Amino acid sequence: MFWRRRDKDATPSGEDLLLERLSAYLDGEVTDEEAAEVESLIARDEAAAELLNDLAVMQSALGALGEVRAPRSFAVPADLATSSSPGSVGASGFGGGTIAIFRRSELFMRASAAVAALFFVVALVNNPTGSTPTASLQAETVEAFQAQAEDAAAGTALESGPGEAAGAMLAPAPSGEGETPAGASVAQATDDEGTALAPAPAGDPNAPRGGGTDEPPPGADGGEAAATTEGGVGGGVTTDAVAKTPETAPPSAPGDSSRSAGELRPLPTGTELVEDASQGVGGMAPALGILAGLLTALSALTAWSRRSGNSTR
Amino acid sequence: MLPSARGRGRIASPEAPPDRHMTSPIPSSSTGTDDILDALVERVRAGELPAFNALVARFQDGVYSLTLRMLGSPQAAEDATQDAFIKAWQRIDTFRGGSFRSWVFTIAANQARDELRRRARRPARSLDEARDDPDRPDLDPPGDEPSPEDEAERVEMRAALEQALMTLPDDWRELVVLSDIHGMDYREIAETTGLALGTVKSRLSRARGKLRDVILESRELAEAVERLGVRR
Repeated sequence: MFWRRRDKDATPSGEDLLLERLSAYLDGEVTDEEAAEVESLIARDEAAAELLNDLAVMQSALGALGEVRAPRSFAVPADLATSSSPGSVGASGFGGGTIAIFRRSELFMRASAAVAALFFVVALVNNPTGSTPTASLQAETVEAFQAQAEDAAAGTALESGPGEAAGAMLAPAPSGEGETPAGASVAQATDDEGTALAPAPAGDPNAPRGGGTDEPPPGADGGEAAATTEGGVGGGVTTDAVAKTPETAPPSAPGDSSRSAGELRPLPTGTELVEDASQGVGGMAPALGILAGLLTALSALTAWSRRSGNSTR
Repeated sequence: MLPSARGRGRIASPEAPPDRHMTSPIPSSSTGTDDILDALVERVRAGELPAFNALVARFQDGVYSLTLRMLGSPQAAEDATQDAFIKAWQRIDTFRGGSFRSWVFTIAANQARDELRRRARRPARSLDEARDDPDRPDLDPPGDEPSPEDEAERVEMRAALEQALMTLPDDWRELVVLSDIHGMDYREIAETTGLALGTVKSRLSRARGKLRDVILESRELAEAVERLGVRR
């Protein structure tokens, strides 16, 4: 009976052997001698007879499933046949003719789009602001900072306190100290209410900066403040640093980023100077994003073209 | 307890051992050895595309059925079937005679196996889903028009068995499909799969044993299988 389980005490190997013999018998793939043995077995072994019955019912039911009607014609179209005549597979080097070529180009475009998208993400991570600094822009910014720093030294600008900064102010790097790395451009001062870009003093460590205070930040005794230098992807460099005091920070060559914390000048409370020198892949983010989008669209177009070509056959 | 299938006369029993012809259907459109077929093959070898497409029309249901059951996805089965016939056209000069059906099934099975390897990491759409797709009403095999109730019951039973079939490992399922649905003998299966005869024999028996275990897990499925088997 089909629904009755076989005796589980039977050894697996013995059951497998019995199953193989009965299966072959069912398919007529046995010799006359083997067929006689099987018939003798099922005559005296009820379990074997039931197993054979189960297999027969199952085989008959599977046969009832039959063939599935093809959803369309798979006739080879004449245009494809001319490009892939009999025996042409070896000459063309492709196994699937036009369809295979379509598929390969589609896969290639998908892969390219994925790589472009990957670089796009890396670029965004490297430069989340999306800024695209260039050498000329950075130079202009440094010059602007220097001009404003001279004004700040003369006490003619930037009178607001740390808590009063509304909007943003640009601050020049301390040009008189020569510690600003090439490409370092923006000094950013922040407080609780917003962000202000404050000019760093040029040669005068006591000149008011940012909010016009000369109080060092907490924990910055001895002119020490945080300074970090991070390498970016593709050779880009991002430097976050505070300005140095003249007493503790001797002049160094432009581009020298190997300053120690002891060389740093304290900043006013709540003030942070940021040198943003992002370069490299970050600047290519928009282009990579567009490239990824174009390749994805092209890939989808190719797939659509192939499928519509199939459906018309 | 369900009634014993043995008493119905159509089911194999020790008193009336089953034979291949009773339990294994061979579609009349797929015998592959008649003179017309040989003549078509000869014309194809001469480069006649219409003759080749006549062979395609003759075997496309079988090839599509095989790839669909191997892949479980109608779209993938369509692609594999089309690629198989294109390859067959391109390689017709490598056909050494014998069963054209086995030869083209070999190409299709290779296509399906390649696709299985490619998409091993992707989930396949089941035959059940395909049959439930209102845009694809042609997935049921052709046949006489039964009553709506009978048809609904038959579709349900077939779907259950197709689902059980899909639980088999890919290589085992291929053997069961070739043997029990397409009616191939062991030699044809060996040709199609590239396996040794002994391997076909032992692997097919294990696949059947596994499928039987799966069916026995569900009383409803066991009933459906029994009724399907009796109806044939």
